[in-house]
Amino acid sequence: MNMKKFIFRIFLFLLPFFVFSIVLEYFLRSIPNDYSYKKNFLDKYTDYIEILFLGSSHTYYGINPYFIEGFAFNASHVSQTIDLDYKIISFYSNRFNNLSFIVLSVDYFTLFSRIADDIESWRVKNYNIYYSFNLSKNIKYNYEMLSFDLKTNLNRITSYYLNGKDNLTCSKLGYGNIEKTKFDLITTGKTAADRHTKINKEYFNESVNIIDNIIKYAKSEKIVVILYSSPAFFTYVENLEKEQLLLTINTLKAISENNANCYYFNFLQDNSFTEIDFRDADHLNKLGAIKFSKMFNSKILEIKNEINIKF
Amino acid sequence: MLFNSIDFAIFLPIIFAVYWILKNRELQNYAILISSYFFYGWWDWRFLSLIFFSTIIDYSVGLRLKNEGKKKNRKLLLWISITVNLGILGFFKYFNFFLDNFIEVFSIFGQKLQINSLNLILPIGISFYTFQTLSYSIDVYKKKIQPTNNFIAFAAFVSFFPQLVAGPIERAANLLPQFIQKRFFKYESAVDGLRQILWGFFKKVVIADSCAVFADNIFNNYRDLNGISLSLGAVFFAFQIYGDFSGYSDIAIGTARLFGFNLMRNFAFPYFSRDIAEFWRRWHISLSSWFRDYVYIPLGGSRCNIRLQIRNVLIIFIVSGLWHGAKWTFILWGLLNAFYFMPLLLKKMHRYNLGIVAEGKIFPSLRELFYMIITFSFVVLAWVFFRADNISTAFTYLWNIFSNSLFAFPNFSGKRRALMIIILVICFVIIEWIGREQQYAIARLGLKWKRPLRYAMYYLIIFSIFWFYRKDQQFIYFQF
Repeated sequence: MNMKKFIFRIFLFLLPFFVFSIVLEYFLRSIPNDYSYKKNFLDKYTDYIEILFLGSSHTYYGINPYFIEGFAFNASHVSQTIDLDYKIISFYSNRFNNLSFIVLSVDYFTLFSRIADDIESWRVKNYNIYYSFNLSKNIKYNYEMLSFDLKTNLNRITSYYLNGKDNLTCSKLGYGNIEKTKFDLITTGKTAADRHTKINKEYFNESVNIIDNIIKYAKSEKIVVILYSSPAFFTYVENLEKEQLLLTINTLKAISENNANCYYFNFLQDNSFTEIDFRDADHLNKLGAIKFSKMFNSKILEIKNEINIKF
Repeated sequence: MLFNSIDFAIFLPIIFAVYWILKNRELQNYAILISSYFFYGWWDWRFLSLIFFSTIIDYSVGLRLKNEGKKKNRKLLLWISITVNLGILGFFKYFNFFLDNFIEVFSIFGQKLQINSLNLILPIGISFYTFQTLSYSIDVYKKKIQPTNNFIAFAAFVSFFPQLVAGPIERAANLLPQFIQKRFFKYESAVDGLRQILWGFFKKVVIADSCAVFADNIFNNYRDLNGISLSLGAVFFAFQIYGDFSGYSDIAIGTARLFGFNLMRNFAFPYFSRDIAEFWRRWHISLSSWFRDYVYIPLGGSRCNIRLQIRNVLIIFIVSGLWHGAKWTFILWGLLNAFYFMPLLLKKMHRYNLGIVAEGKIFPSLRELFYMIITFSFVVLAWVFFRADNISTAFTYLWNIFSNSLFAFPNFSGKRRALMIIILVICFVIIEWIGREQQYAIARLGLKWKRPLRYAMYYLIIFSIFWFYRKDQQFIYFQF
């Protein structure tokens, strides 16, 4: 009797919290964001997309599909790792009827990292909630309200529902279209390089297998895969660990040499990019993104001309 | 598993339901044992073997002591328990400290020793459960308690998850019989437990974690800050450590009550103490009384000549400092407290303030207020040693406090938010003052109010907890 009373009273006491939580979660999920936008875009236009860009923040802030000829879409997200790129490709693999190019950024850290291990692991919830990938059963990666503190969540709600500010930071074609303050290129070069240097190489083989699988799929669908290393400022490059960098570059070169439908471009130390093109040591700013996107467009056009010979 | 995590919010109701569905006492003990190992293993399952080993040793020693009549053999058994428990603790916690100091001493004499320190992880809660099991063997040896032959009950006593990683350090005489008796669900006790848990979370999340932001900021940048900022930093830390540790104890005691257990009190409003002796009777009571019963009294306590009394006090405070960690700052913190205590001991005034301050009154007298402020100030100064990374930092920090800039305007960043936290801390102190005659501050607060009003108060506390909640905030005492 005592126990029943206790449970009943606790239930009554907590009921407002449950209701509040459900309402909060509903409202948070209804705020437009990059993940929900890109998922909807892909759902709607899979049939039409010709060039699909994938990758991390380097692609998100570096490639503006507006400057690419053809129906291009940037499906990258900040801290998106290669396993997630592959998940996106696999999820839509049967519906890409017009896809000619898959463009993947494979940077210094790509072959050695996973989002779940990173400081950015909170972003896992975006793939669970908006892409329905079931990456983790952990409750904190399945609810919007558990990703941030109450204060932030209430701010998000008031910002959107009262002031009309959503969480969407990308352009219609998926480019990371936000103005950010310029950071010190020397400091960020060191900190980013340190952050990206992985001592643990356990993901290397798995990452190479993922690239192989993407290439295999692409081959079967007559799609060209372009792998590239993003441009970075010299302060970043000079702080990179040589072994990890060489392993990445040599692996990508070998993959591209062994697969007729695969190309590799290394822009890491491309002299065309100078201080004015960078927001921080490893991210392009708007100006840099325009330059890089145009450059990429030329590469794609060159490949398009070659394609008939190769296939 | 952290109390302030979603994992625990899921874990607790499940274990609570399973526990009370199992009406059989033995099955309930099994449930507690399994859930406690799960709770601990969530952090690192490898160290479960240490708890299990410690459990086996003390259980076996207890049984052997029961049947052993010869004094010499009984002593040997006791020493086995002491050696094993303190050996494990010493290895994981103090090996590198003593090794480094050993090398340092040799280097003074021009000898360079090439011995590398070991890369050891300190198992969470080792100082707590080691002392708990050790007290069992000592009490059995002294025939204060009867050893148990119920292994599951004993193992559950050692690993009881609410107090496993940061206390209160329970005595077998209090907790073990509760595992052997049948437990009944009591509505009032469970509700009281929930209230104490709520208050514990408030202390940890709202007070401690908020103060931690400024304490960390000030201690990390102490060289650039003026005296007033540094003194505020020390006060922030004083409330951080109090909120953190007493908050943990409240959650532990409240959680145990949900399962029908009564744990010992660990904090009794220590910042309302009128002298340092009273402070130590009110701060981390389970550890202070452990040292009193198992170190101080066996050494002769205060029933010996004054020279030995001084020695005993020095030993107890130095050991207490060392218990917190293998660092000279902790030892110095202990030593400083010993020096605070010494005048009271010499004047035989260390048992002067035994009751609750201003009991039955709303306000303290001016004299009481004065002594409380003085005691608090001494405690805060000692916390500088506790918080500082090394001794030189602690001395520089203290030196900079007592400079001309003590009367300047604070120059640390985030003063507006700091002011808000100070107001919050003042409100907290007022609530604690109102509830100082209870087991915890809100034990009786609002009990006579109408339910909607009382619930509104609880909702406000819960809302503030969620409002101030920051992810992955550890409890300070986990490192000990």
